[in-house]
Amino acid sequence: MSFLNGALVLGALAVFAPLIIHLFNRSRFKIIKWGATHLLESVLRKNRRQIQLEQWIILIIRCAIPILLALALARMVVMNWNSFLFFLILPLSALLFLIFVAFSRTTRWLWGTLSFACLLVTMLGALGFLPEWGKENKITSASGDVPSSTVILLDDSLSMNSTNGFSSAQDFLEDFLDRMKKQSETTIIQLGGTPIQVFDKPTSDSNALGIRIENLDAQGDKISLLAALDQALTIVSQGKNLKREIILLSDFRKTDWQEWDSSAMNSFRSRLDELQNKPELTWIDFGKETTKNLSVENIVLSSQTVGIGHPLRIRATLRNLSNENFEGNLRVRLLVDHNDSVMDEATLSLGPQATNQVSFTHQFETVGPKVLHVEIVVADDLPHDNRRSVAVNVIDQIGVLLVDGDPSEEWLRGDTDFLKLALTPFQENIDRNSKGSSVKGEMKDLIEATVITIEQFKQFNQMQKIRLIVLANIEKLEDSMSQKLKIFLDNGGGLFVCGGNRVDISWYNQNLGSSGSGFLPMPIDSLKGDLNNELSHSKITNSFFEHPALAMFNDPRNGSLSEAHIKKWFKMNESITRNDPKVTVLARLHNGDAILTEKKVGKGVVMFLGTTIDTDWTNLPARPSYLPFVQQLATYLSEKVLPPQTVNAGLPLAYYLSEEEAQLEYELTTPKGVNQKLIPRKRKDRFLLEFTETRLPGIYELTQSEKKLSKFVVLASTEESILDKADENQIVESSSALSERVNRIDGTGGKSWETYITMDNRRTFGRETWKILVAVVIGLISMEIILLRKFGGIVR
Amino acid sequence: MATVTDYLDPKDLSRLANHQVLARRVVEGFCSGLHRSPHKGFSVEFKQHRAYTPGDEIRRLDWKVFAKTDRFFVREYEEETNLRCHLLLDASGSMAYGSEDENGLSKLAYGSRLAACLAYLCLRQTDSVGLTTFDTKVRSLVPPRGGASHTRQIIDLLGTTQAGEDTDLGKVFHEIAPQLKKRGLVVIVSDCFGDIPSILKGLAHFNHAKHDVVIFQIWHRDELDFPFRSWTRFDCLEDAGVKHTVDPMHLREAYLENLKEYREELVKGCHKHRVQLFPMTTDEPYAEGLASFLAARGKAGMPIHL
Repeated sequence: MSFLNGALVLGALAVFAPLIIHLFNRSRFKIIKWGATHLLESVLRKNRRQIQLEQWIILIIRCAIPILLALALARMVVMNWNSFLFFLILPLSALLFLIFVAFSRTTRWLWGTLSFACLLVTMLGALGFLPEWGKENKITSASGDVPSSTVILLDDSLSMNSTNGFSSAQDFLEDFLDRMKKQSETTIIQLGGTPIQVFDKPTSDSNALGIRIENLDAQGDKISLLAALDQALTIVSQGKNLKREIILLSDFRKTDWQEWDSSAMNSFRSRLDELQNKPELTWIDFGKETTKNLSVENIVLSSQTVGIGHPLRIRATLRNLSNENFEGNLRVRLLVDHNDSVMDEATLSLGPQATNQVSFTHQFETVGPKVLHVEIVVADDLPHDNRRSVAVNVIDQIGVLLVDGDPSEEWLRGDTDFLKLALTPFQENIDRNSKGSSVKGEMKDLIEATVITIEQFKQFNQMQKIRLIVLANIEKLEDSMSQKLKIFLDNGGGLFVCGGNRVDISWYNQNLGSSGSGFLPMPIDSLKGDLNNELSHSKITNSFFEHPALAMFNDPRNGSLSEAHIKKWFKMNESITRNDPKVTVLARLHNGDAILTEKKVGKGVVMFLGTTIDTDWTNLPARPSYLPFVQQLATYLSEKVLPPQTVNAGLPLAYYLSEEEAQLEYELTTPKGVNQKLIPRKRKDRFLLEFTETRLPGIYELTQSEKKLSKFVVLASTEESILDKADENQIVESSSALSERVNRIDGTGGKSWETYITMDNRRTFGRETWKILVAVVIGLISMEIILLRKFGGIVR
Repeated sequence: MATVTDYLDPKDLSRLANHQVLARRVVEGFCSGLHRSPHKGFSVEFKQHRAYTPGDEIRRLDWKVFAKTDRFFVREYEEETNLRCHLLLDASGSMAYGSEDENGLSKLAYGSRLAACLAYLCLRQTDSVGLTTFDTKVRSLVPPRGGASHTRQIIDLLGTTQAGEDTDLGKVFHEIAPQLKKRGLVVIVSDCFGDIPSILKGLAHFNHAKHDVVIFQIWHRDELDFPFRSWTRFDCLEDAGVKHTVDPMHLREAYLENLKEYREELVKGCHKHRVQLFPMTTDEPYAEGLASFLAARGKAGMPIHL
């Protein structure tokens, strides 16, 4: 005898309710001084014992009802006839015989004896003085006949695709759902990446589950088995059925069974041991031994954003995870977008368990978001990892106007020469070398930079092509120029103001400061530093850059801004603009002075660099970080900074929006072809779209009313390509650490369901008694009502 | 000391103003009048004038007085027989029931008022009234006498009467019967709880002595309906040692059955001994009950005069 809801057995304490009510009533009797005693006494004299008997019967029935109800609610399970006999049948018979005693006149001695005998046997049986009759007659129900609470952990990681593992698992699930009993409840958890339940709650709707399972793909990331088991245990421990089971359908790859946290295992074990009704653990292995697998492990692009006609270099790392040797016969293809037209193809050699790299170059002819795929053309056990994708953004060229306040005939002596070189390296390369060699540059710059003097700027009227204007070491501006810049900024252009020896500080503060046009983020205090005194030099602090334009320097591999010496700089007065939300300090020097500041003007952005952009006051242009620094600033100021578009599964996708764009509606198409509405959010001062459910690897397309805005590639973990089976000892050891008993089924032979059924049929379970108990309770209630009416008939 | 108004409410009396207590049987009196007298004779000696009440013979009217006062008076003579009314009031323990009720009267109080009313009525019509209170035996006694001042004596006795203990009606009746020398009206105010055969034997004794016997059986509503629901301890009023703690719901049906049987038996017995049994419950006004009793008795063809 056991209980499914053990705590509810305490409900049997409700037996005291009728008892207390009875005693309370008896102790709280009314006293009446009665005259007509002679009329009462004759009734009492003849019926006293009968009345007492009837009251006892009613009291027993009333006490029995809460006890039986509590047992029914606690869902009593009996294993054999013994408990059934001693705790239900005999006491109830005793009660029944007692009722017979109350009703019969002539044979009451017989019923009385029988009732007493039943009671005696019950008592003796409960005290253990009697042999346990019926103990050997088990009341069992076959496993197939009892409803179950099952949690199925379905490994839908990419590796399950090898050798049809996933479809075998789906077949098993189909059979399982077919045989599911009406009251059974099943939860299916997809393991790949972060464990996720197919339905939020356990369900008995096998059809709905079946349809969902049929449409599942094994695209998930590496599984985290322990976390999933923990989740499964939580769900199954709340299961409402006696039969509980956790079934793991997986391919038992080495990577999934490595590096388990022993404390997590212990906590699982202790949680399992604490459960009164422990679930069975069943592992079903669908992972066959594999012989051959190759994968594209990594793709590196020369740039995430590329201009039209700009050659993009693609470098892919290929990995051979088998012992097969490819001697110059491994075909690798480069594909673009959905049409899968082969753009380039290469053949190479790849030794057993080796890696090799392949390079492609591609030039895009149209603007827009694109996806590139690198694919190994080979038939292996896991075809899904033979192709890897990466997202590329193809844009038109950005027009940049460099206004030089101190031009020079000599190369690299002018104030904007370093900048132009850094912004348009390929173009410069061609220009410089055109005299010596006639080799035409293959590469095209993303930026098209034009250098003009301040006088030329006055007449410059092709502003519509320009996205960024750089003012380098300009002494002062005429009013017409300020007006021009104001219109330019209001239309969303970017302005980059750099310092220098010609700059008229007082004019800048007066005309560009807050009292003037307001371009300057903060007023200039003074000039600091000394060109010759090295002690007065400073450096840019290498702190964490929150600003997107400098965020790439948070990764040390991209170089460090702190390498450069800043010899002279303008000290800016931050006190005035400290609370202005439009003003941001991007970078500071070691002494705390702001060196790079930003202010939003109209729709555009003004950035002020407190030192020169050439080598006059700093050696930054001679440092490797200069090129990415100005490139990043230029793309940011021309509003082309993009968050990463190729991410690993599970990481969020983001897309920046301007304030107007934030009013529109956006849709994201997932790899499954499901459209999802995205709502723009504001984070700090920036509007963006964010999508976090990137569990499924593949291509996500962001559209706004049919217009393709961006493509994102979500990549599966490369670990899924490692198809080595987990060590048997490792599995046994880990399993035994989790639970005393784990059923292992080898599902690789395609007979997983048959094996499972055979195993399942050997299990037996006790029988639930709640139906019988509820019936008895209802019977007792109606009997009480009948008896209360019948007991009026008293002997006179 | 009990006051007259405790027992005789002017309002109640006004209801009964037109009623006379009439003996249904021939009773022995010493004056001729309302009641048939067993003695034949002439009315010679004038005793008093009495106000005319409908039903009086017109020839008895004193026309002279009428001429003087314009009112009808009847001349009464010494020879007319008057009624001897014996009131027997049961003061046993069971009669105390109902004293704990709110606003209610105990059966004894109710019976006392009833007896007072009857006494008043009799005395008003110049009959003589005596009162005997009893439980197991006669407790106190006021011998029958006429005159308005006699009311005082009767009410004094009623005022001092307390419910006693046990009852034995049969025995008491046997004790009282021989003491009533002349035939008259015997009014028993009691709940008649007790052994019925014994009671009937007592009544037979009265009957044998040619008394006109009326029993006002006083009930309390509880005794008729047995309305108790919760667990109750019934303490016997007559025997302090008898206590029964029971669930009255269980017993009600049997009790009511018992009650019916008992009443039927009593009615049958009374009928047999020519005793008029008039049951009253304490929740109905006694004046009304009494009025209806007297009216019924008048209608039943009882001659008003001998």
